[in-house]
Amino acid sequence: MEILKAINLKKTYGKGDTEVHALDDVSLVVNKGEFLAIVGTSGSGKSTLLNMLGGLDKPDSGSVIIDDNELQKMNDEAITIFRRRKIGFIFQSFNLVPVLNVYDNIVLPVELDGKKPDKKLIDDIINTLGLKEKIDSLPTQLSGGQQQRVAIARALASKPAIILADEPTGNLDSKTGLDVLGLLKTTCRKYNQTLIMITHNDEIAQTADRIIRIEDGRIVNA
Amino acid sequence: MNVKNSPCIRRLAIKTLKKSAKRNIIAVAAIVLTTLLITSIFSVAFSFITASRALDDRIAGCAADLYFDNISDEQADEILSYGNVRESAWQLRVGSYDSEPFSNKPLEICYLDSQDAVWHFAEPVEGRLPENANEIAVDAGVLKALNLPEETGTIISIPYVEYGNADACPTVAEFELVGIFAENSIASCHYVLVSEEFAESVNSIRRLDITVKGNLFAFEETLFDETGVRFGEYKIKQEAFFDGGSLFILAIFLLVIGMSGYLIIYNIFQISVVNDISYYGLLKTIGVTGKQLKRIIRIQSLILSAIGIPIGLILGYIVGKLTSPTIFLSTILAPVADSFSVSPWIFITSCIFALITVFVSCSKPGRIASKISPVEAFRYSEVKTDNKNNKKVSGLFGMAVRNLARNKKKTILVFFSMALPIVILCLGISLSKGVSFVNYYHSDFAFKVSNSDFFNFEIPTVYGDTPADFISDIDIENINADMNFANWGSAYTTAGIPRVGEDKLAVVSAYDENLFDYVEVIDGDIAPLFDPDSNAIAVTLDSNLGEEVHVGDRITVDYGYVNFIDTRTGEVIEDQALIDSIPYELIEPEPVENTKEYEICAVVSYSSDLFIGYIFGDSYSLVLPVSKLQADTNGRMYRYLTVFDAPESGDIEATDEYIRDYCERSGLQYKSEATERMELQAFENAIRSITISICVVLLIIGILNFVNAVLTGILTRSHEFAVLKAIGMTDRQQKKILITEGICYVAGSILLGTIIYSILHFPFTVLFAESGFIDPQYSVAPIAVIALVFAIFGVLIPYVVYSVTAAKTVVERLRVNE
Repeated sequence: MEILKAINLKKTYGKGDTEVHALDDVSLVVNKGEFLAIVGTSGSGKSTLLNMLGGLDKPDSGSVIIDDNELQKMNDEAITIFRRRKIGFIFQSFNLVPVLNVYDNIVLPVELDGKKPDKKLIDDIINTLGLKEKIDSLPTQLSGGQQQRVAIARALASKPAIILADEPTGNLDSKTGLDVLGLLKTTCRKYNQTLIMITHNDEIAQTADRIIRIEDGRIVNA
Repeated sequence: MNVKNSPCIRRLAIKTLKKSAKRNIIAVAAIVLTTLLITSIFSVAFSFITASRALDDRIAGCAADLYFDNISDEQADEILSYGNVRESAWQLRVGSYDSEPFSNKPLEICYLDSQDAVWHFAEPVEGRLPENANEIAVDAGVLKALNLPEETGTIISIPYVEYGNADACPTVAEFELVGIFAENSIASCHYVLVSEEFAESVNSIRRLDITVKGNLFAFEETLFDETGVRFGEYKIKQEAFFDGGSLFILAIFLLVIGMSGYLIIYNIFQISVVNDISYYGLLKTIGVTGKQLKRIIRIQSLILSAIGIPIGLILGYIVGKLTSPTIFLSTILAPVADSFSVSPWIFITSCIFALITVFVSCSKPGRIASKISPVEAFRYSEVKTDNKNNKKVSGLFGMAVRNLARNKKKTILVFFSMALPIVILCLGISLSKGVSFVNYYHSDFAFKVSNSDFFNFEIPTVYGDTPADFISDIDIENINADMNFANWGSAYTTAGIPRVGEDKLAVVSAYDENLFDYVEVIDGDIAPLFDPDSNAIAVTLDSNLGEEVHVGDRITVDYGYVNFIDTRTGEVIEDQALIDSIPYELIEPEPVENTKEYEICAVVSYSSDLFIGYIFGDSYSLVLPVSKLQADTNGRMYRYLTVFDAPESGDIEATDEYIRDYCERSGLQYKSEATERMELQAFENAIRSITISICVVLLIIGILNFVNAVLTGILTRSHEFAVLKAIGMTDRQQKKILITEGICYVAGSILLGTIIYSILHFPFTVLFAESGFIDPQYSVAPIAVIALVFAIFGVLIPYVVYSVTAAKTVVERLRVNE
């Protein structure tokens, strides 16, 4: 079952001599529950693609359809609301809200939507990610691995259709990175989440269901 | 190791500066504003000094410092070559005239050279200075008093008594009017200018006027010792023009402005450093030292100051020039309200002040930049989560509150800077509301009439002559004839200051007998005062020695005085005006003794309306009936005040108008309920306008600080807001948080302001209780006005600032820290 479809995405930065084709006619289909790894060198366009898929950036042409909703037809407000309901983001630099404690960070997307968090689900996620002891801590009181686990919990909390992770282990040492990745995969399987992840690390990419490689804004082997 | 890298650092600083155009504009604007405020304060302060000097000159009637009468050409050359003489001018003093209609402001007939005419404020506004023997120039007041038109060509008869001729009777000379100049309303005489030709044809006194460079006191001290020439002073030049109170106010103003300028400039540099922290981290990574980073920031601030300070100086000077006349108009400086200082010190001091403010403001951001480690630089955000309270916060409101708590110092600063105008406004309004006329003025008499000396508490100087009555018999007759007062009376005092024993003084006041109805007897009996054969006197408790004497005690009062003898004739100089014209060496003082012994018959307190206005240290304040003082001093006394009760007609308003008009015409002054009410109204208005102007300045500063807080808050959290948007917080929700934060600032500062005002109210009341007529009224109503202004800004500023900064896309903002 298709959960995400990207059709002929194009994005160009700069003009004239400095023109860069960040995305050059990229099309892509992702199925529900799939774990897709996107690999490529620095500047190849993989982050641009991920931002397009998450509605953070707008393509010059082409469209992204998630769960039968075409992002390009929505305005900024609608995309933001769509994102907090359907997309979970995990960033390389964790990006937790520093004034909120672990629990508040996790439930923030749900609360922003004016909904009550699903207590059972949240507890379950917290237990699975081993954060039970830390729910009252502030982000600055946590290690990098713990912070990224909170970010994963936050991404899962609103039961999104799809999780987008931009090098989630890039800021962690290799052992912690593998641990966090293990947890990410486990929880995605457990809640039947679709996961699209950018990585530099071939070892990590190998654990994915499918790998796509991007070079100069094009998918070279889908 | 000392490396020559300053050109490189300078280049880096300039490149960095160019990078942040928006910040530069805001920073320059802040520097301009700070400099503007400082310069306008300084120019008003300096103009105050100029105006005070101008006022002294105006009152003296001449802007020169010293004069020399009847000196020889050799002496004049000696003086002029003496050094430190700035400018000199000559005049020939012909004579004077002090009878009607010039009894209150006499005529002074003289020839003035062109420089002296300027010094005497006698530059013709119409026509020219006299050149021929039959020509004359006068001020407009003379023409008015003589009922002549203000037209050149008019023929005028001027009566005068020649100075150089001791037995002279008044002569009248006829002139053609060739010049008219503006009347110097606060001088003690009218100048009537004649030509040099005319002045030389009579027995005139030649006078040299000079102005002195530098310290006048030092000049005077050596002048007489070294040249032996006798000189006179036009006025007493004060060395310090600021008393403690005005210096304090000036200091407070400068402090407030300096502080707020500091806050604004500091915030702007703080924002830019925080914004560019990764850039500074990068510079540090490639080997720029912390010291050099500080220098980069300092050079930037210097360049911005070089643009901002000159603009601020010019604008501030203009603002000062425009506002100082308005400020002076409500003070004693009103006659010279248009005087304005052009001292370069205004610019020098303002410039130094502004520069100090800028440097101090940049020092902390510079320290932050210099101390940051390259690794930290990439992660730096203003957030310091020293928050131990990690309890669950609910919703956007909770987040907003948490955000304010992030940087408590900054939040409290904004609270205080916004609370300050609230406190000032409330205190000022409570003060102006608390003014009570009933407590301010109470009088037993409807009108008190005298001249400016009495109302300014001046003691007339006498050299052996009795001063003229402050209000003449003719004036009293005129007023009574026109208004028919049932009850009136006068108060008198001695010509000199009587002595009691070796080292004590006395102020002896005497009243018409009917005024003793207003004297309250505390102890003893006043009846003996009116017994012509008794030697009774009453004592009041006004002076410090009043309590040391009792009814029945004896007291000896010395009414002695000094006569001046003209050694050429051996006779007493009767006409005081002559003393000035006779060389000093030819005058000899001759003390005349006159002691009287009294017995104290009563301790009294009299209506404050009759009080002479001054007391001395270690002195007695004594009271006699006028007939007694007349006899005991051999007539060496003068009338200082006449009081009138309500007129027969009962129409106070019409009477007030009549007396006002009469006083204006005859150079007198008066006090009545109406004048006092006006004075109090002016005082209230002054409080109100001062309050409002301070409040507006503080309000602007408070709001600027608030804008800064919001701006810093948004800029430093721009990445965080991008993250929040990425995980699904809409723009509207983000604005809501910011507006909530804004409202928290407003609510917090209003609360703080109300608390501070409430705390200050009581000591404030106590402070003003001493005045006797101000009882500050507690009122929080003015807060509503400020609350409204704040509320509008509280919503508007976050909204606008967010809308402007949100223009960058989420991806751009997210990338900043990665």
